[in-house]
Amino acid sequence: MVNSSSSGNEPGVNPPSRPTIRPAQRRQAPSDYGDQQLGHSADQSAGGSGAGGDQPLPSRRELRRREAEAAAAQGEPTAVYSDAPPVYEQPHSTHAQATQAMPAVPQGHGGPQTHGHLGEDQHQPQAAPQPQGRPQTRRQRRRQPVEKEPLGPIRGTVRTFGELCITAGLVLILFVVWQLWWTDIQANRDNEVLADELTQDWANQDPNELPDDPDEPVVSDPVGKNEAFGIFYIPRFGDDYYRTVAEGVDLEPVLNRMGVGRYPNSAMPGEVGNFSIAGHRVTYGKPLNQIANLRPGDEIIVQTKDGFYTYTFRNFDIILPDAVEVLSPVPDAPDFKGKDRILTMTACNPMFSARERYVAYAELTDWTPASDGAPDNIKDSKAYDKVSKNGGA
Amino acid sequence: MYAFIWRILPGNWVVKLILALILIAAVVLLLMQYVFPVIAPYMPFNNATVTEGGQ
Repeated sequence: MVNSSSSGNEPGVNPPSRPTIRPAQRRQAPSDYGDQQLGHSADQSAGGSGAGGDQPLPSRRELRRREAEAAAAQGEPTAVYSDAPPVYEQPHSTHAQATQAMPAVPQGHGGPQTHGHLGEDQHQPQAAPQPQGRPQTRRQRRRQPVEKEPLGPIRGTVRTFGELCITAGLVLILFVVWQLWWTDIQANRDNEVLADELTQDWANQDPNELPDDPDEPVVSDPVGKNEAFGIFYIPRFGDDYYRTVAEGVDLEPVLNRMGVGRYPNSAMPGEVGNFSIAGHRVTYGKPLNQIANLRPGDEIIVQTKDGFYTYTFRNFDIILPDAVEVLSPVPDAPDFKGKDRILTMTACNPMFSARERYVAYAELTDWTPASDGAPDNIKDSKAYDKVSKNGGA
Repeated sequence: MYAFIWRILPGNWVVKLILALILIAAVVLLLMQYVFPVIAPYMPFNNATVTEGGQ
């Protein structure tokens, strides 16, 4: 704005007008016609001097309306949405004509624009001849730069970088979806399949011989690493809750796909000592998701080939990840031998963190041989129904 | 990048769209089946065990 007083009718190249006009025009028309655009703006500021350099830019809607009018004046349909392939060819062939007919274009194109600026004689037919080569629809014009405009090395790099960033973001979102949702689905399915297999196996095996004392539980035989040997039922976690338990605490395959895992060298169910298991609290079927909801007196039933071991929850603790003494026969007192049959369950704490571990302790309070059927508290549960349906255990 | 992929896909836009969807599905499957299980153990919330070394 060097000379604002004279901006009203100063002809010529006045630089201030150009930056204000160019962006809008470029957005409206493809840059193939950029050379024409330059012609326009110069032409416009020279010819349409009545509009002035400071004239506010026409809005998109305004531009669209003018365009439609211009097209209507020529007897063309305003919107050609039904055009099929031939139309895509048209711009290419006509582009040459357009460049040939270039000198005529600025006049013709600039005419309606200046009229529009004045905004009065809109309804006069636009006498200015529109060259044949001008693309007729917005759609074609918008399509064209995508195909023809070559990106410079810098813009190309920036665009590719941006696309890579977006891709990385999408991949991260996908990872979260996979971790929080898909692993649960997978693990729950695996759990059902594994429980079915297990109960079928049991049905085909002879149970271990029962000890003389009916109160004395059978101690399960140890199994190989990564083999399932039992099923957990925890009514507090839901009527349909059951999870297989397998040997070992490796993430793959035990904790991620086989329910909960037994710490190697800990006691087996029914054995004097500490039967310790670990399980995910979030993701992968989250077998111990509700471990913090356990209340003293809640029962945890472990089914094996030999029968049902009922452990009763006593108390919990929150410990550091290296506190292995909780796994000893007398938890927290590794030097003692102990004479109780304890169940220890560990899971991460707080959820979604590996900072601490949540430990739940339970003690064996009841035992039912397989031949006597399931104990009352799970006999009618959905979980037991489902498990016993195919296995016949 | 995506513009380039779109350009090299053959056929008209319907075919391109179908091919692009197939490509996306393939990438998603590849990630979920092979890539994510490999990196999941390094996530901070998958540890449920107590061990000598912690973690």
